[in-house]
Amino acid sequence: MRLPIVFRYIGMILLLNSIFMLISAGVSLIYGMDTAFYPLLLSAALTAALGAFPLLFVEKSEQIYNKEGYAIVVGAWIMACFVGMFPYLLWGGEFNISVAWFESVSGFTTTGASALTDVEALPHGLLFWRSLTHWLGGIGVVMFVLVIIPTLGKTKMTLTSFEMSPLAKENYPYKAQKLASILLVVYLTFTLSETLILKLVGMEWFDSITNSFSTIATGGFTVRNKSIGHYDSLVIEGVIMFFMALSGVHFGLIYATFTGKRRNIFRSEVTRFYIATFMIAGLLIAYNLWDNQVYGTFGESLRSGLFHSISSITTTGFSIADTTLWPPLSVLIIFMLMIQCACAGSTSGGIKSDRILLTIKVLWARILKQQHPNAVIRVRLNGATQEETFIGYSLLFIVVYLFLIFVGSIVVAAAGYDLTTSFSMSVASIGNIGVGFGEVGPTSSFAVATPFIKVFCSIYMLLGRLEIFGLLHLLFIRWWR
Amino acid sequence: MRMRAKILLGFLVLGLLLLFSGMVSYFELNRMGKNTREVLEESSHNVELSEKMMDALNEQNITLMQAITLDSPRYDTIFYSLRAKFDSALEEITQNEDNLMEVVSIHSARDSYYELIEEYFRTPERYSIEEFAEAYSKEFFKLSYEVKHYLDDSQHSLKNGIIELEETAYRATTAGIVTLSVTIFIVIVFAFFIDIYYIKPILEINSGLDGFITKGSSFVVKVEGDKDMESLRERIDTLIKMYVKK
Repeated sequence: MRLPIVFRYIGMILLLNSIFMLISAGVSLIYGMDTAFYPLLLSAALTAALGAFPLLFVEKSEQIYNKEGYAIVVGAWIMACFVGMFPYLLWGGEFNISVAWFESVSGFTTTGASALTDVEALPHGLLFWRSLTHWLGGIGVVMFVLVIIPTLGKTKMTLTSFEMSPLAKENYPYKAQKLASILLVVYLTFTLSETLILKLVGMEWFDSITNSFSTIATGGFTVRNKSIGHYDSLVIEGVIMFFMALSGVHFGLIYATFTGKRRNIFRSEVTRFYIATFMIAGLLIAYNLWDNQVYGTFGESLRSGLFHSISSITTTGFSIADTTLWPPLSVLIIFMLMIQCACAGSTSGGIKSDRILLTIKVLWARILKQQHPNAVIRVRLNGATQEETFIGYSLLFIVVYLFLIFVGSIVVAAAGYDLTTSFSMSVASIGNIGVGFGEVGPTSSFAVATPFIKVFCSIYMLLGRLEIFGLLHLLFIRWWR
Repeated sequence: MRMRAKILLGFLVLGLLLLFSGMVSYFELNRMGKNTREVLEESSHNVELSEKMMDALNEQNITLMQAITLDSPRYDTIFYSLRAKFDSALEEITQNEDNLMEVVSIHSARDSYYELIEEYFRTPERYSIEEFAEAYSKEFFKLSYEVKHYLDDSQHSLKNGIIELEETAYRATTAGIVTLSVTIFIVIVFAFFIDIYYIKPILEINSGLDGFITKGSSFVVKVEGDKDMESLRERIDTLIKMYVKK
């Protein structure tokens, strides 16, 4: 493997990060040069130095190999998280190394879990940077570079294939250049639309921009301690619910729908399955909450039930109510949604609805095969027959994912946390959800976690964001030769 | 970019990073020094004014006792000059906006203390000496309590200044530590690049030349990545070919 080439591309991604740090410093300047200005400026300078250095020495390479592609993608994510913690560390306050690293990883992986106790104490510049890490991570730090640098040639194709989940590629019958542009167009359109609508319904500019970054990236960081519950507005919650749900759909399908293509949202059975799941779950939770008299009216129960269903399935992690007070059935439904998650090709994390639907179909095919041993039964998803290797990979992913959830729960429990908190931390981290139950519910934060647990959870967040196998490659040293 | 420019630029980046780190630490430490001086000056000024008020109050107390027992107008003059001393200290504190909330209670206690004394001077026959002593001691202790309370409060309010100092110190040291860590990382990467782009090719060229000179083997050396090193290899190769032809 040619390490200099890997350094060169990671350097480009770091340079992009430094530009966004400068933008955040600009926000800091707008808000009367708040205390985040110098930390952001210094961070931008350090990140730019780190990123530009390899570009001085390493010449551009037209072709990169598989190993280099993996190393660039994984290395870029880790380095983005590493430089992303500079502004926090330099600012101080509640941030020490473990909290800054946790907050940075949580931002870039769009997890949205916070280790802070008072978010509102942060200056505007730092809050903007925090939300911006979501926005960058949502589209993918590597994908962002691929979109804005048009002259990468074959490299673009290789990196796109490593950055994108194998499931997500299904609905993208486009070339790498076009694919990256589609992603950016959809992403920007959604962000701008939500920002404007939130402003129109009464939110301040700063809040609407930062909340849009979090919603479209299905992240979960807000600039308020009470999350979206702070605004206590049905209209705002409605807008956010709509955009959360939309961000959970495959971006390629959304583009196809708007451009009048045949293969669109309405024909996608995965999208239908995803929408049906959160609608049914929302109604069930609403009934359960109303039945247990958690809220006074069915309307209030429906408002909370549906909001948290969408927030959980899309892995956003926004909240409007204290879900730790909910009855067990509602909690279990939310856990189920946190594990299933939204569609591949969206900004959400987790197992993905595609794999769950595929598993149900494989199970059904297996039952049919037992009844009719000589029948040739094909498993189809969105009308396309699925190959055995792909089905095997999907099932393996689900098994490893669930296994990791249990391993994570055991590790957290070993540190002295109760069962609900341990399981929550594990599911919320690997699924990039950010909010759970127990001590990490909507009214508390990961501030209760020890530095070891914070680092452990941040590794889980990276595992979830890189769909497990991406990060696992790093562990196989022999493969590097 | 040529070899010289690359290496110079590499060192320049490292130098600039160190300079930047030093400058940030210098400005933050400078600010910390200024803040420390301000906090200490404010503290000592508050203590000074509180002491001035306490002294004036105690002296007023003694003078008042002398005025009552000796019944001489001489003590009235001393008493009013001490009162002016107390008022000027209180006025100075009042002008400091930060302390405005805390001095309201001193003002109120002082007004009732003065009112009692004025009333006694105007109509001494209204009070027996025991009644006056009881009312006076109540007002006197209330006022002295408020002055002491102000001193305590002003010392507690310094805590915010100390926290700010702590944050400034944190920023000054963290900026240095983070920049140094990044510089160390860049030094490692720099060393890596110099090794693979310059040192290794030179060693390989040397080894190739050694093989040609000692064993007469052909000069086959692969140099990639740096134009200057590639050019050097090509020139040596040309020289060898010219030498073989001769």
